[in-house]
Amino acid sequence: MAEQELCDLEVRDLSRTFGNTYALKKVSFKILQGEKFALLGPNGAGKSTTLKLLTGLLKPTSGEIKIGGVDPSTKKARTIMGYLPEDASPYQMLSVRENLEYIGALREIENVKETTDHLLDFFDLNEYERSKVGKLSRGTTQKLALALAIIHKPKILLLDEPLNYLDIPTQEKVITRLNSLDVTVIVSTHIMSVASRLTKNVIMLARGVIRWEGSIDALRALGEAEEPIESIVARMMTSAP
Amino acid sequence: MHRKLFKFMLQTRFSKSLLVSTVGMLVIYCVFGSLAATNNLFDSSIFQYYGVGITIVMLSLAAFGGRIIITKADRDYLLTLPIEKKTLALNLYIVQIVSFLITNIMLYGLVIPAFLSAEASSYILLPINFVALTVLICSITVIANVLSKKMKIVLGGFLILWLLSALEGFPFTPGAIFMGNMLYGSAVLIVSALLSTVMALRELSNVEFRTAEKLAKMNSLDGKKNRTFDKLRPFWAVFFLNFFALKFSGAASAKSAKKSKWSVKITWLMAGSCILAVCYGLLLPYIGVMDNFMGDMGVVFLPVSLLYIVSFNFKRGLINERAWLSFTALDPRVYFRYILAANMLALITLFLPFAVTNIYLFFIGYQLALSAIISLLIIVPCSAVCTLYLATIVNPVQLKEGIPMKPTQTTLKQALKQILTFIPFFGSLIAILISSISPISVIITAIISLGLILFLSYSHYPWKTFTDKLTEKGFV
Repeated sequence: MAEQELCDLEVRDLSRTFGNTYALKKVSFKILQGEKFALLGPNGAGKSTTLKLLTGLLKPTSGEIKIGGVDPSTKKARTIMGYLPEDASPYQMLSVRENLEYIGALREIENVKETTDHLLDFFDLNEYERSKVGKLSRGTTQKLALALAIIHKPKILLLDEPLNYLDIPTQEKVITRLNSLDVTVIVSTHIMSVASRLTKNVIMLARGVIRWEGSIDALRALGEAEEPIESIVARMMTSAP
Repeated sequence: MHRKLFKFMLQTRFSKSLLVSTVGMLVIYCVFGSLAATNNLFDSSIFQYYGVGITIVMLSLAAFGGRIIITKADRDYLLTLPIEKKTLALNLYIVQIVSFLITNIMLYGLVIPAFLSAEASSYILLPINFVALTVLICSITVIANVLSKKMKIVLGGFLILWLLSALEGFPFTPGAIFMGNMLYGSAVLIVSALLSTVMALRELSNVEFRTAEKLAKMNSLDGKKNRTFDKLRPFWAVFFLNFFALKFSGAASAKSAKKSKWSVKITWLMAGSCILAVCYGLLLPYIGVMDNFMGDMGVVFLPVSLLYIVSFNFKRGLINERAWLSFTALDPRVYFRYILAANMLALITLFLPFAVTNIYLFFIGYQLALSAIISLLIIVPCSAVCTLYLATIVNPVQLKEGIPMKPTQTTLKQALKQILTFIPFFGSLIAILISSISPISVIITAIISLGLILFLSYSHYPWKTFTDKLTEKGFV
């Protein structure tokens, strides 16, 4: 029981097909409370599909997912999870504040107004408070999407390319903020530097199967002396299964 | 004219299946039109008014918001090619004419019976007028592009009055082709099309290209005041968002991208609804005194026209919804139930003034008004909500960057799927029309509609694969 409570996320023999194509094939991994993992892989590896399956937006073809010991479609799982998709697009017809307050209300958080004020401050969104999302730049939209993903103080954060479109100062601020959170994090990315700044462990996916799993230090140790980590990753991703 | 460039533009804008289905629609319209005209199947006055009305809409839209629309890919690639701007503009202008031709076939196809008569000359003039009208609309978009706002209003106002004059029997207006003055109307239309084309061609080098995304962004104004969702329970938050500001999805064309984000406060709509209901209540008895049959038809016509408006509005489904936010915050089944309830209540509230007018009409002797009340308060809202549900399930489209997929780029399969979303509309339409003969049918339809809505809202079955299907189709 104690082990189950410590284990935030468990995936067993997870497969998902689109038509006749396997996006994920018998993927299994376990993430303990507070661990930070990067899903690393080339385009089409199945990273985004994995996150959508974890959030319950997609149903697995076979296999099992447990979020905090329960199915992702349950209320408990929805309460403890925060999700940021790739190229996130909040409600276009609502303003920045309205988006935050609306999702705050749907998630039944207390002090919606205060939480919104805090997030607007933190992500420097105050000047866009009344701007409709359709008018924002991609960078500002990404900041809002990040704020929406953490508005309910989730215990598990699923982030798909979280630093996309952000300028360097904001990237640094977001990295510091995410690293300061005592939560379980899964970051999907194909950029090694993003993975190493936000996480300590890597699950390497290619063509829907796990190629390698372990810590970033262990990954670095797989290369030759002074071989850049990107080169090690590229070699492992393209090597035959 | 640059042959390769023109071919490229056509191929990137129109799918073959769309062109085939458009030609198919044209053939159906022509066969139906000629049969209707030669056998006097319909009272053509309905088509005449529709023809003038739709031309007013098209020409005034061209005058007020006219410009050559390009896609984002055009901006990034086409406009960077070493081709003179005038050549580009000329090709885009011709492609826009083709685009308008397709739209106009769909819009004007229904008025073919009004065009045609037993005379052979009407069959020759029909295609000529059709092309001339399309060229005129397209040329106005280019001419208006270089005008100031004031001049656009003057031009638009002039065109509206000019077309309206056809209803008073004035022959020297393009609108006259719909009202029986085929010869003068055609002459004026062809001359107007030629003149406007010459003027448009002269302005092509000054024309401004705008992407639909930019138009959508320009329209996305900052609000004066934020709505607050603080201290609202989930149901009230969804209700507040969907009830008090009824969203208008609009058509899915690049030209109308601006409209796709319209949301109108229900208070304004209610004010409009009350005024229209009063006018309706005063006018109908007046018409009924002159023509008994027309008075009765007026009672049936009201729910039919409202059904038409709301069905088109709701057939875009959850175009503005965000699954990654709402479906991860609430059970999708519960969330969608809240949306259905909010939209249905908004429509019932809007139709309430018309229902009150119908009670008055019933008491002054219009028996059909009782059926109309049931149609307005139950059948039409249920049909709209069913359309919303069906559109979401059958053909989910999500508005992400201010523009949905253009209809000119949809495949035949997608077009056929869109037709499926009209099932509730046609079902309700038939029920409302039959109610003028058998009032009991409206009660049966209302009971079935309510049962269907309750089933959709509370049954687990339709929702089993709902989120999965939406996500698989790219709805995030």
